[in-house]
Amino acid sequence: MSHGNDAHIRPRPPKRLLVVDDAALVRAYYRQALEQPGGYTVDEAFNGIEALEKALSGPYDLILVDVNMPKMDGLTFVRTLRTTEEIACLPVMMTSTLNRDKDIAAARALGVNLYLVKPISADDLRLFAAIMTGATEP
Amino acid sequence: MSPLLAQFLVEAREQIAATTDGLLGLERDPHSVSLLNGVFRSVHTLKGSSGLFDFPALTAVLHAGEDLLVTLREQRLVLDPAMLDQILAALDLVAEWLDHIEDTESLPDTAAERGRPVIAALRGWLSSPPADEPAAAATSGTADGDDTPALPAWLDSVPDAALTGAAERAGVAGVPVLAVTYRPESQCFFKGDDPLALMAQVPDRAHLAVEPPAAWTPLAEYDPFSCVLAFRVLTTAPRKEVAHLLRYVGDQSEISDIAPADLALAGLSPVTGPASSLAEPLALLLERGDRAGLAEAARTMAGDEAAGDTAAATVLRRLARLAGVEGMDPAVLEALIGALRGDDTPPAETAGEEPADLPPTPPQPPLSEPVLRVLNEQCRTLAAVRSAAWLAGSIGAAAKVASNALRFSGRGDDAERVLQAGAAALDAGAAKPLVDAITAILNPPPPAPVRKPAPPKRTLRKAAAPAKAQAPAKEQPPVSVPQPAAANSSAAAAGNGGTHDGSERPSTVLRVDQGRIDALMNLIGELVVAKNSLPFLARRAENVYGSREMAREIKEQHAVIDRIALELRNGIMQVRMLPVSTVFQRFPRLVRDLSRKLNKHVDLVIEGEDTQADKTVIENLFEPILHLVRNSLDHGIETDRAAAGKPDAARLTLAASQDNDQVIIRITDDGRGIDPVLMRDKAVEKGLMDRDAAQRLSDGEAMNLIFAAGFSTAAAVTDVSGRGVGMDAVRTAIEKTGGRVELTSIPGTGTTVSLHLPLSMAVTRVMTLEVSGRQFGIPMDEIAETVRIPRADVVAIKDKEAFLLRDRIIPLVHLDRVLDLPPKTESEDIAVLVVRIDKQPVGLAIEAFGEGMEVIVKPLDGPLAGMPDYLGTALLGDGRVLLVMNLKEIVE
Repeated sequence: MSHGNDAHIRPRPPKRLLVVDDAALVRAYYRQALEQPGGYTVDEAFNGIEALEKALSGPYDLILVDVNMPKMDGLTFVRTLRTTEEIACLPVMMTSTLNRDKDIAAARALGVNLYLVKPISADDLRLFAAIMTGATEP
Repeated sequence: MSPLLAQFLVEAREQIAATTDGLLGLERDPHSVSLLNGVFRSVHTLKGSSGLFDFPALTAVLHAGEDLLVTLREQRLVLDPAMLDQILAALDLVAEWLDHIEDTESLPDTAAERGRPVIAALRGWLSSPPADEPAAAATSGTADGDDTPALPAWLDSVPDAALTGAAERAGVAGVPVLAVTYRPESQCFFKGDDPLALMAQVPDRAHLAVEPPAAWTPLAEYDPFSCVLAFRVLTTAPRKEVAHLLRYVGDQSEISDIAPADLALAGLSPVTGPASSLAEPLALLLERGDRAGLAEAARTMAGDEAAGDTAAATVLRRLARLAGVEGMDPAVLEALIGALRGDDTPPAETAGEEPADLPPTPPQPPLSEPVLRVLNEQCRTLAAVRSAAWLAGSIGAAAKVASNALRFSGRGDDAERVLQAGAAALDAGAAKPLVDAITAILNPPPPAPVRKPAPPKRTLRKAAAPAKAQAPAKEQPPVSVPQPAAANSSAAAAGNGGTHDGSERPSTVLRVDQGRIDALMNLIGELVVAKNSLPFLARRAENVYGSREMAREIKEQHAVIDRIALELRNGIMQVRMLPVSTVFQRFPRLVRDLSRKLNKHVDLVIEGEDTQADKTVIENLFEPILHLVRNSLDHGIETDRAAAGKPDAARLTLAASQDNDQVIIRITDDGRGIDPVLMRDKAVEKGLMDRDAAQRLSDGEAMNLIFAAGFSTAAAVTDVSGRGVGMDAVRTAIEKTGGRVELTSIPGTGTTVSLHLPLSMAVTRVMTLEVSGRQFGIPMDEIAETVRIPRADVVAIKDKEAFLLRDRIIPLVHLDRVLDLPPKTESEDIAVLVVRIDKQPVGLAIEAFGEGMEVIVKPLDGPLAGMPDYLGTALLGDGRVLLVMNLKEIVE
């Protein structure tokens, strides 16, 4: 993305995202995709437990969470999130390489707001993050 | 290389190592769930990461491996040792590609080609191998798209009778008709699939069609063994039954629900012209509930009024037949009458579900595909949430996301409306108000009189979505958060939070480039050398400038700097320390492969793998140990162990331990041992020594002949030991790192080879000495003691000299003669340095002893590089260069 493009982005309070994935590389990738060109503030957590702690100390506009993680997987995390009063209504984007119907159905049943199958291009990531957070420009 | 790729390579190698460990663990303990999970996680993560880059072949191989592991994890397959072989082979291939990526940032050109057989092997285990990635994504795409064609186009080609029959049964039973499409994968026959027979088993089948491919391949290239057909079935059986029947080909088949009313419309051509006017009287009959009259009227009309209009006649015939069926769903008949009328708007009741209070909106910015997807997704999620415990949270989140999506699209009013609907839904404890609001925005009521295309599929979804959303709401009482369950799970989360160990936190471990550590180590080496100049300075202060006081102070400062430099050095050495396990961990796999190749059963035992040593030492260990392990497996361990009275499983032990500043690695086998008699014979035969000399060797010495250059006892060169430069290669390699090799063996019982290695190669303690006025260094490790002996005590034995030290005859070597330097003084006493060369004491006659110091020995390079007599050079504190001798070479 060129500087010229950046200049068009209207100033706005940066949206805060929490990226939850056990793979440092994936977190780095999301950060790279969202932070600079997207203008988001990105925090990271490496499993569900840490994510809950961070979410509680929020506020966040969107949580991007992986399914397969040690200690507390993504589904358990979302269930706990949705049943914890202060953070129950946080929008969640779940990303995973699992692409079977039943995986997606399981995520929906927990109130996941969008399920994207990895790999996800940086453009898609930015676009959907913008849609879900209501950012005025992608 | 981008930092991301560099990080990927590092992590990928770690994941491969972890996976290999796990797989070998599984081989020992095939039922370990935790090992299997660990292996799966590693492969899964690896695959996920690889997807961030453009390495399709690599990702495909990992994907195949992951699929196999998933199947194992879900216990749909039982672990077979051959599977492990194939997964390991796949990992080998991936590791090889990683190397290539590191060099060129791309996969080799042959990658796809080489990956294919590996993938095929892995997929071979799966009874229903999922299609590869893009196809799988496509499948999930269609799954996503319940909202896309509810009426598959192929229905139009289904014969009228079959359609009507299906609509009849479904319309009476009030269940949807299932439209099944099954595209067997081309290789399905080789998996024992019989697609036609399978389709014939679908219960309550109304229609079965075999569909040829869109284009046939030319006859010359036609492969009769690959399946190119697709199968279509219409059935009124319950979805569960059909899905169960197709459970092994789930990824190749597609099942969609079709409402009877929609099915009844399939295959109809649009009705235009005068026949449309027939609809009104029929609608009236239906309204009155006069089914028999309706059927009769339709039948008559088909024969008379609509005789010339095939489209209308078909509709009427169908209507006549269905209207005559007891218990037919009126919606079906209504739909048919609607079709006759020439409109395809939904039947009145269904449309009535539309929330009426939404004012028609003025022209709005259109919603893009992704936004539509997100909005749809919210409806579906809300419909899917079953538990009251998180319904409220889900409503809140969905409302937020939906309104954000609308705001993103510049539809602030709609966004506001959705938020209000969300609040209403929360109050009601049911998702319906929110779903309705979103649905209304997705499907705006058509602007007034234009009754144009609102295709049937939309009708279907509109009707279905609110119904689905109501389902959970009906079952559950109004919800208030938090639930007790919520408190429990968050408490559990907090509890777990306290126990997770810090090792997983990425922030506590630094990944540092090797080069930086090496540079630091070099600097510290120079610091040590610079520090060594202080004693010289002190001496100068005293001797040249006559200030003893100054000399004393310098010495004091030297002691301080010395201590700091030592601590600094130790600290950096700690950083450079690697556990021996980094080398040992490669052996389980190697031993496993080698022992299979040799058809010997070998248990590898690893001990003391936490022992640490300097990186350079560790890095130079693999080759020698590999050589020794190969030798043990190939020559040491008997082929027929029962004959030797030993258990079938041989035992090979790799043990590491630390002894002062040495690391000792022992490679022990319980094989046949080394026969000293054979060794002596061999030595004579190879011309290394004459028979007498050989006989004089002790058994231990004879066994150690194995390390002599050009000595190999193996009768045959085998694949495993390779051409075997012999054990002297091992000895040379170990000695190069400043270590030594020892061997003990008991014939018939086993052999132990121990490698004694320095903890660190970076700094060497040397003793300086003078020969003919020149200074040399000798590694301190080799020095046993320093003595002065009267010249008279030196005795001559033949042409050699020796002296007596504590009743032991020790050969004396004059270094000045060996080095071809002019002899200097002929004093009364001779300074003798007693050193150990191959454990044998040797006296070195020198001119004067110097001091001990720590130096960094740099190997000779340039034209001097080939000189074996010197280990290298070291820089002294006063700037002079010290040659450090390789005593073994010099004295021999």
